Amino acid sequence: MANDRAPAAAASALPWIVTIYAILALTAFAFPAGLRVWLEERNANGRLWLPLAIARQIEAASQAIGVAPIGADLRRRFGKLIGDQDS
Amino acid sequence: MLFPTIDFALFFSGSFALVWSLNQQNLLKKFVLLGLSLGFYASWDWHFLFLLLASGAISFAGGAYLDAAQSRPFRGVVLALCVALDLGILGYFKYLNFFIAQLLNLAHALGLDLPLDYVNVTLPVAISFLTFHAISYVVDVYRGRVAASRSPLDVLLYLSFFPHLVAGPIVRAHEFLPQLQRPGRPGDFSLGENLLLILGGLFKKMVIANYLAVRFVDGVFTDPSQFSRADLIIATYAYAIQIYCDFSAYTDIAIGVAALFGYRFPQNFNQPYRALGFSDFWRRWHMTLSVWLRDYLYIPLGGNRHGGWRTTRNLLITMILGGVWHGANWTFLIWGALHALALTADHNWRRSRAYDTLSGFWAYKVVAWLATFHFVCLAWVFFRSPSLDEAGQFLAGLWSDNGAGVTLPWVVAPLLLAGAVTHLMPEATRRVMGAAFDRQGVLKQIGLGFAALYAIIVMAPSASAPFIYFRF
Repeated sequence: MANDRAPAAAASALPWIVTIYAILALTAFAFPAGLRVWLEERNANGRLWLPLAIARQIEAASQAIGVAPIGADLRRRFGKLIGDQDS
Repeated sequence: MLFPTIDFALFFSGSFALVWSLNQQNLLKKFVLLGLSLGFYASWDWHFLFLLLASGAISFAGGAYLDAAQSRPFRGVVLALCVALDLGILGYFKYLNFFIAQLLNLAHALGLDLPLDYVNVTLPVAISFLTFHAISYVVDVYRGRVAASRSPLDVLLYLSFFPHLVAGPIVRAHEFLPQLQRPGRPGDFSLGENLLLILGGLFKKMVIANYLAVRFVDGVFTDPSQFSRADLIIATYAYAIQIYCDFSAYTDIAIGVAALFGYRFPQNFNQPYRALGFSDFWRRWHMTLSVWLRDYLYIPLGGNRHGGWRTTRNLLITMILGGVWHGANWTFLIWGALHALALTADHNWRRSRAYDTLSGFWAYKVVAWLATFHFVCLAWVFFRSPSLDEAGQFLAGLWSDNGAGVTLPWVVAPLLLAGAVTHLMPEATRRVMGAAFDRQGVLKQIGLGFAALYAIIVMAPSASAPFIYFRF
């Protein structure tokens, strides 16, 4: 099992973790409806009430400061421009 | 669970920090990665986990026997048994009903009544890729290219590692197993380069391939008799761009995700539509499949070592089997056979005196590019068509205009342009941009990554089509 430990000089993954989770969190905040709908679709038995409540709070915050409407509006405009009726 | 979905984003979010937090404990890290990979596979149908485990057991036991056996004939028998079992599983799930259908058709034509019935089987996700990985392991052990693993965990993780599990790239045993001996370090990889691969893949799939499919290509290929010749011509080029953007996107994302977990995958595409011949095309398109077919099928058959006729035969067998690997359909068989004939012609041409004389001229290169690109595009008609009937209608429509009006939406032109630009983007561009990204501070990196992802989501259609290679 000598190979089971990484060398001490191994670089830390922390900067990667910070960068990638921040990108994902900002994206979830900018487009909060996707996550909320995804959770709602899987909450038939009510077990996802906590993450769903958090997702709704995130969506409310995003709506309140005008971030979510910008993303939704841009998507709608682009969809209309390109002829995608469902966007 | 496919890459550009919320399911995968959550799966990735849950596993990324967890896996890196275990980087000092390689054994535990591998157990967690295996658990994640099995969970990833089970998200389609947990029943097929048994198939994955069976394939792992065959490979591990086969490798151990090959390692222990001294006698060459016995090693040959073990290898043949392992390959037969792997191919038997693939054959049962993927080809049995196709063969039954052909037998029934033949019997019907001869006026016979065969007591045969179709088998009720569901095609397991990723079975073709799983089979190729399993065969790669036992053959590499047989050839001494990789040592037989003492760890069933390593073999199972090699077969099931989630970034390559569903649609490749095909990672060979000798490329992946050594990486499991030592945990990867972030310092060995470029964050910027791999984020660019992932974001570029998302753009190619979610924007270019999806819109081309939904707005134009799918409709034309469903009923080609309803479309004008101009529509059919543009749809031929559009599908060439769509399948490139779709498949290269999947493997780009897979390579990027694997690197973010500390594992290196081989490159799978290298500007394939720039090829100046058919052997050149197959060195650039689905490179890991080409190399697999060359090393595990074409060369064992004799390759080009026994004269022209045997070379042609070996190319035909290799490419027809490579075609049928994509699906149990005559269209794939014809696609493979067309490429086999083209490769044979290419092979003979490159050995001729005329090639030596002409190949240096730029005019020759233009003609070679035009011929290669258009032949590849026409062969895609068979690959994309649901059946030979539709392929025939499509080609007939190309030959003689059926008088229908042109329905081509304007959006296809910018999509084709965007596809061509992503295709022609040199590999070095990504390396340079990735290095520039890595030099930025964390806040700038977050800003750049978020801006790119934001733009892709704004442009992406509300519904995403599955990856083309997902069904293989």
